[in-house]
Amino acid sequence: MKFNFGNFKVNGSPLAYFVELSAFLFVLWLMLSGRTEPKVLILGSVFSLLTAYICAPFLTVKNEKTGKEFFLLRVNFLKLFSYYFWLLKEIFISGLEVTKTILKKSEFAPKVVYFKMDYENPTAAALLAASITLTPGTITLDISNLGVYEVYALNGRCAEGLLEGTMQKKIAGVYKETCEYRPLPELETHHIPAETDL
Amino acid sequence: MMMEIRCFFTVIFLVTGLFFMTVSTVGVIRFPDFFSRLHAIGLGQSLGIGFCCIGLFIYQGFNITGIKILLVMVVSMMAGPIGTHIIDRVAFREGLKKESRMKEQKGRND
Repeated sequence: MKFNFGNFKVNGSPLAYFVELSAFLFVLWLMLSGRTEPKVLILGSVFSLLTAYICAPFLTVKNEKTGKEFFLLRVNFLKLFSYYFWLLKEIFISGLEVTKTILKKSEFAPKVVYFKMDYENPTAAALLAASITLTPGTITLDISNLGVYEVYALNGRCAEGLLEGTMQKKIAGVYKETCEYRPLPELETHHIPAETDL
Repeated sequence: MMMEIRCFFTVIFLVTGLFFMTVSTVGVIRFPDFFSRLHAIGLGQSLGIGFCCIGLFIYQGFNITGIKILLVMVVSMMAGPIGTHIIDRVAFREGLKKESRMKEQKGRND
């Protein structure tokens, strides 16, 4: 049986992604309907297969530099779950830090830090930027085409945890990539090319 | 008895969440500039909503409504930072960084 989704060219096999997406949609159906009669289950599986068949070609992200297409759900689900719980723990720790800063104003010392982390998959970059913003005390201001992140931190201790590079390494594991993380010192940040054409 | 223990933990989690929301509101008023205020909002968005959802999940128990509440938590955690990032990127590219932040910091130190 041949699956051909128009011009659905991605890294990896399209059929595996199709099955993955329909399984994901079916689990979502089960969670939202909460009924297990055969009629509902059959209806749910038919609709999730149909939706996955229509939507799979649209769920690809293109890397602008290399031109490769990546499927959105091309992740290691086990690592994604462990990453999520690690992120919850991290959010709690830095949330306490921000609470301390708000209640005691002398700790307020904002600064901008830079680091370079170039992922091949654009979804990984988006996940990293969203995780940084979700963690209280750090906000992603901008990502350049070269993978330079500009992060605004509320004080030095919030930035330290980020610059250690644990989060970057874990996300590289989720997306099955190699991690080439390095923090940028103050001096190098003057040579980052300005980008306005995005 | 079981219900009372459950209610006890629900109240603890809800009060913790409301505490973080209150602190985040105080932070929005106290912080001097735009980007720091976004930090303060982020605290209420992640920890406040997170704790409230966990509290409601404990109250509901592990059934279909409880799972939906956890789903709400996950979705709000995915959608929240995207909005924050869009707002702060626009502010950053429009040059708010140079003007307002530097001026206000200088004013504070004087």
